[in-house]
Amino acid sequence: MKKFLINSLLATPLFITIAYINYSQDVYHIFSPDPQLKEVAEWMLSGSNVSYTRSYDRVSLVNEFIQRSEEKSDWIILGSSKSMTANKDIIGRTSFFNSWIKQARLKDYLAIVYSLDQENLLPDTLILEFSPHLFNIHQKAARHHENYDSYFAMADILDLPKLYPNRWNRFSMKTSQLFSGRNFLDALFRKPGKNFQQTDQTSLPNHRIIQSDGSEPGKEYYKSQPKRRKELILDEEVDNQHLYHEMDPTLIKHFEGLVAFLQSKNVSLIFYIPPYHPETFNITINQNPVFAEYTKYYQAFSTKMKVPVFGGLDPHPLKLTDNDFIDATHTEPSGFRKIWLSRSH
Amino acid sequence: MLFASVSFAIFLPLVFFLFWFVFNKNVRWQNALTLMAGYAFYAWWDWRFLSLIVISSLTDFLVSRQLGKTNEPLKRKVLLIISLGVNLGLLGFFKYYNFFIESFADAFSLIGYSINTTTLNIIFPLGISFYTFQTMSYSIDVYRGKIQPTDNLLAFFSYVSFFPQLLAGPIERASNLLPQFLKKRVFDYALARDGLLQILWGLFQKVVIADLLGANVDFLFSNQSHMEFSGPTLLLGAVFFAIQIYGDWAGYSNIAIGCGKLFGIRLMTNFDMPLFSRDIAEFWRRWHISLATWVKDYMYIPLGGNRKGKTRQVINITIVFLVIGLWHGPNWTFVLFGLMHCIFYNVLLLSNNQKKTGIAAENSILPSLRELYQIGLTFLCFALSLVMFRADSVTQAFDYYSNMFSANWLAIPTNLGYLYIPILFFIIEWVQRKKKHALQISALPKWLRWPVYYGVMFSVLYYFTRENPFIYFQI
Repeated sequence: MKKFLINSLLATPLFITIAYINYSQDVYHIFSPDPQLKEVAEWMLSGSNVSYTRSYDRVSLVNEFIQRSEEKSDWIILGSSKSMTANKDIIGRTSFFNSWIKQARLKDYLAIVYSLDQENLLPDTLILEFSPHLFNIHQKAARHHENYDSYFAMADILDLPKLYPNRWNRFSMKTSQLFSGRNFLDALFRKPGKNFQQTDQTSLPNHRIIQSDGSEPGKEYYKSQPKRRKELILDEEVDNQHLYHEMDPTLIKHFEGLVAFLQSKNVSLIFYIPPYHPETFNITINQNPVFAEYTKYYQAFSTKMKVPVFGGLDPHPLKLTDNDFIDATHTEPSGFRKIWLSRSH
Repeated sequence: MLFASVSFAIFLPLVFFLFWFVFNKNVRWQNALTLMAGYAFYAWWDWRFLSLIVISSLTDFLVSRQLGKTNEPLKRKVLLIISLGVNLGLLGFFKYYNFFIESFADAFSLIGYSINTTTLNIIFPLGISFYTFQTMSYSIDVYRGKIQPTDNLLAFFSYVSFFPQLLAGPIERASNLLPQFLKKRVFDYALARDGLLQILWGLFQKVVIADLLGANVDFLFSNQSHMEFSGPTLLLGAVFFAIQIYGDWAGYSNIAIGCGKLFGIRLMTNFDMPLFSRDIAEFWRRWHISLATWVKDYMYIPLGGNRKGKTRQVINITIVFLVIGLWHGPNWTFVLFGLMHCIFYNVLLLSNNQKKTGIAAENSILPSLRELYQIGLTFLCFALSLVMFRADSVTQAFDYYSNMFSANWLAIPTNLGYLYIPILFFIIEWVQRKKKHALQISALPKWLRWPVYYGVMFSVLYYFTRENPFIYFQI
């Protein structure tokens, strides 16, 4: 037994090294939020744009922004990256914050609304992205730092069943990231240096930009990768819709609870239905019956709650073309502008 | 609990430590821990279905004890029918109820009658096809007088619920496994070391080979997408699925067998380099051995085997393969999968019944051209039959075949980029084809062995991105 244990221990240096590098470098900020995000939030609040080169933890940035805000934004958009190009010029407001979250799930919506409410920052008007993917129980989680505490607190207030991972699953997810060989190589070979820079530009080569209102001005880099863009447009697994066969009733409860809460706080709501790229819509979305079910649902629910709606899954009535899309699901600012202007007043 | 998961990475060392350092007093303590571990392992998925394991175990324990006490033929037959009835009843209800009801209604609608049927929203209990077959075989063996029934309830329950093989086999025989639970296990360094390496190789097969290829296979088999691809792409997709399912299931079996070795238990070999089989008969002697020998011993031979002439043998083989097909799942695709293998097997039987012994190229490094042709043809038949296995419906499978054989055969496969995975895998398996698993490399010097172990461990950690269930959990 002694020999067996000693020999087994010979394997541990690999695990210890990987865990040490992954934890200390924390490339994806899984174990602690990126400290530079505090600075980024302050730059944004002072009216600056911010350039970056590597993916960042959007949940933490929104949290930092909310914590540092002293005055509430009159208008806020709450959604996923499908809403990221909505900016204050298109919306026509000076006091506007785009609080989109990567791969947003209803958990993120509830967590952000909880934080805004706690800081007395709930806006007068909130544009709520009402995507079909919100009701897909198979929607993937982002890899970044998570905001479970705020979500759980809000779920308690609304008396909702807590859908998202229990403590064990959260521990399990973090542990697998701690020993991830992929993260380890990323940590070893990533370029050193700060990710974020303050800037007054809205476009820089090889950089992406966070505008001071939280929006992003489109993803220029896909334009230089037309093959990849085409793959994304034709991807049958877009929005995990290959796993999407029914709208999850608990997620519906979450959404309805959130809407009721916001209305009880006198927040005027507008629902935004993000469209798909014309080809994506024709090839995949239009073929999946769950989207017809979803359309019926959003129409009935918005009528019942007296909430105005703009957008729609089908890009054709909105006169959106290939040029208005970054990829299958994300609109360029030009696309969002068309959708915003198409709303009935 | 999945083998390739954080929970199992904690569970296994914990049970190992408790087994050898805390519960090592005597065989009863060891069995008590094994039983608790097995039930905890299962309950991690859904504790409610533990009751089915208890019912199946208790039935066969009691039936077999009674069988041991009586020589009266009628009473013995009744006892055996009770065992078969309970186990097949559980299996039939939880796995096949809806399938038979729907098929029954479909059959009537074909002749113009519409009948109202009620299907139930039944959750499929994991591992039920494995543990019911295992417990049934115990009662049958006792009935046949091949083994003596045990009076040791704890040992019997531990044997049924031994966690490494509880969910997806190997389907163990009491004659091999139960005696190991009746005596105290003593730590065996060589066995445990080999077990650890086998677990590592199993993880590699699952995480690196099966899951990587699985992404492309899922894409090709997703609804409608196969309509757009060329014949070579679809054929390569079928080949990839063959490697995926082998990596997935052999990976599971290797992990299970390796875990058994850590606890001093020797489970039976379940996959013995089946991809290098030279004909379909050899394939079924190397592929899912525990199921193939189960149906041979408990169905094929009792039906008459090859003792009653060629015609009867063909019929027996047909019955056996249809059962093997249906065992894989309640869908006509699996029945047709079985039927395809039955045709391959019977064609071989009727044309050339020469039994292949040993492994391909036993005394040389490379196979002869004849062997290469035989291996290639057998593998191709297997891969093509798996289109039926993988498809969601018979219609989808036929669409896939039809596109595969009609669409643009001059096109370069779009999934060629994945080809390095099976090539790498084939080379490793070929080099190690005479071993029980690919990491049996003790002939190499230590300075060469450890970089290999480290390389395999790192590959597993690199490609492990999420916990993917094993394909055979659905069985």
